[in-house]
Order: sequence, then structure tokens, then C-alpha cells
Amino acid sequence: MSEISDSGDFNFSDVGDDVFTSSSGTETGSSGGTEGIVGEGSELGTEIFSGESAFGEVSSEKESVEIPAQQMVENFHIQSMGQIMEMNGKYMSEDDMNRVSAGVNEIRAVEYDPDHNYTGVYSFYNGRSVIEIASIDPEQMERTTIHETNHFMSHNHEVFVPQPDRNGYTVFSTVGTREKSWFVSNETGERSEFTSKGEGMNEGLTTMFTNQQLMEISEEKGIAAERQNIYSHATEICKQLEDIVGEDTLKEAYYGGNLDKLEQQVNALAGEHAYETLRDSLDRTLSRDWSERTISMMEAQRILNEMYKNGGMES
Amino acid sequence: MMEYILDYLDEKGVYAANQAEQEKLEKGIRLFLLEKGIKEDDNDPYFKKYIASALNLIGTADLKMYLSEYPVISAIMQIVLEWKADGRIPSSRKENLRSCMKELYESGLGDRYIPATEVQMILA
Repeated sequence: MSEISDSGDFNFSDVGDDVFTSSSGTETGSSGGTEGIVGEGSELGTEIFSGESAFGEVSSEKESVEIPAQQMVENFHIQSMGQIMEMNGKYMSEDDMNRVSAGVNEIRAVEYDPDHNYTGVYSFYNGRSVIEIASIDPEQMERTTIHETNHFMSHNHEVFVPQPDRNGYTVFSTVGTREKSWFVSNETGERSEFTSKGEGMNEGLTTMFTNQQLMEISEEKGIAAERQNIYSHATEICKQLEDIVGEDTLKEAYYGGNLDKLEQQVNALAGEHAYETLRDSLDRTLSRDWSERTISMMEAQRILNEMYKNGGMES
Repeated sequence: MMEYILDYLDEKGVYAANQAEQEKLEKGIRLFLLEKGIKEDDNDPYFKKYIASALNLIGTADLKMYLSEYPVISAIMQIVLEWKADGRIPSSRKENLRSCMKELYESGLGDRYIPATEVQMILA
């Protein structure tokens, strides 16, 4: 489903993985080059994208954990796909439906490595999707696999724009509500000019949908996941947003790629550019800086209060 | 909003046993509100709805301790987010985390309201 425009002379296989992360999961974009088969370990070079543009190296020599962690992860993934399809399939576009029907290119459980600051990774690059789950305990693996499967089943889209004058190309990548771009040099494969927006909303929505799925499986699992959530601020704001704009609008944005409708609704209720401010505020709720998180929450709350006062669904 | 939360606790039959407990509870509530981006004098219906939703997630038996220990919960979240952003954290922060976790376990809250897996990964 990746959209590749007429290329100059760039070589996709030279590009490393670009990661979108979540802490109950992580989200990336990945390169071609490694043909993975579900259930088999294969080399996966992965770079973690966190916040602005800091890419950190992750070892490409991880050992795949075999039975039973691998089987557990695959089972959780298959169950989760069925659940998401049943609950949210109606929101997905034909392109995404075709991509999802073909299955994830690679999914694997890996041994927990204390040097890695994530419990799961989803990467999507050049039409190739990879899920990696750290094997810690069954509950965490279930939670994380559902989270990463939601990233996989959300709207995934990418465009490669050749820039022959610069001997490279720019990648525009969307996963859920997160939009990223970066430039890749044909000569060195080096990446630069990273931009990212919508990560906070994307992680908040992914966690909210994951928790809803867990709640369907068992109330105990759903409540525990909500209480132990690393993205609690973003998730709480997304829950309120859902109450105000309605479930359909949020799911059309996340699974269907219709961000325009969400933006229009937010702006109609809270004023011009309110969506942009809300999206950026949610990005900053993930900050390591306490003051930045607190200020961003204040900004987000003002917008939601305005929306609520001006006729949100439940006001 | 402070009054709203105290009334909420009242309705749930949750009370401070003495002045010291009351002060600790109110200090926790202030930080709780601040981190949620809500001012103490915000009284619009939206904020009440938001707070009710956040408090409903806490078991009634845990409410008083959760709010009283909120500064500890906040400190744990801070360390987890530093780890998440930086990949590694210095050993002094790990010690801080260990000490916070000890306090939470002693309070009876355990790891119910913090990102338990991430804490486990940091302290491993």
C-alpha cells in the first residue's frame, strides 16, 4: 500500500528502520532488505524515533525468543486483529483493508533487553510492516501486542518524493494520526530534516483502543491497563475528545485516515487552529520535561473545555 | 476543584483521620490537579466530568492513599518518562525510583497505579 512516486536513483534497501515507539509499545517505519517470515527471527535493524528527531541505535543482533513467547505473541496478534476488524473494520479504507488482509510482514517476540526502553515496536516503511514484542510477562505481552496491532491496523500510508537536485528523496509517512517526514541521501543513506506531529494523539488513541479491547476480553485486564498507563495524560484527553466529537470521528481519523473531519469538528467547536494546538499539546504530554507536560495539559484542557461548552456531543 | 474532589471523597465515605492526613491529602490533590492541567478554581462542568472520570479509575479503597501519595506517583512517572526519552537513566535516578516504589508498597498501593512493566524494566 505504499505509494512510491517515480524515483530518481534512490535505493530503498539502503534505508534503515525508522521507528514509531510506544512504551507499552513503539512505532517505527522500516526498510526493505530483510524478508521476514512470521514466526522466524530475522535480522532487524531498527532506529527509535522519540520526540523531535533523536534516532537511537538498537542492536540488530537480537535473539528471537522461540516457544512459547513467539507463539503467544502470534496468538495475541491474530486474536487482536479479529477483534479490531470486528469493532473497527468499517472505518478502514480499501487500501488499508488490503494491506491488513495480507498480514504483517514480520512479527516476533524478542528477549527482554534492559538496555532498550520499550516493550514493543511497530515499524512501517516501504510497504513493509514489522512488529516486535519484548518478552517480559504474558500480561504485558498481550497488552503490547494489542497496542502494536492497533498501529498496524490503523491508517498506514507513505509517499516518497524524489529530489534529484539534492541527490535524495523525502519520505512522508503516516501511521494512525502521526505524520512524519525525513530526507534520505542517495549517496550515504543518511537521514535528516526529521519532522513529526501527532504522536501524542496517536499514542493516546492507540492506548485508548487497546484498553477498550482489553476491557472486552476482561474487565480486570482493562482496568489494570488503564491504571498502569505510561501515556495516561494523552489517553485521558483522547477519552474526553471521544465523548465530545464522538467515537466515529475519532475512529475515522485513526483507522480511516480522515483527519480532516476531526480537524473541522475541533475547529468548529473551539476556534480556528484549535486542532493544531490540541495536536501539538498532546505531543508535548509525552515530554520528559515536567513543566512542558503540565503546560501542554493546561492548553489541551482549555480547548476541550471550550469544545464542551460549545456543544460537544455530551455537553 | 479542590472542593469538588473533597466532596467526591466525602460521597465515597473517604475521610482524613486527622489534620496531618488532611494536609497530606490536599497537597496531593493540588499536584494531581496541576498535572491534569486544571486550576483549583476551574469549576466548569467539563473539568468536573474530567476529574470524575479520572477518579472513577481509582478503586474506592485506594482513593485516599492514591491522592495522598500522588507526589510519589508523580515522581515515578517522571523517572519513567526520563527513561523513555533518554533510553538510560543514571543509577541515582534508579535509586530514587527504588525508594519511591518502596514507599508505594508500604502505603499498600503497590504498583497498581504506575507503569509497572516499565518500572520493572528500569530496575531490572
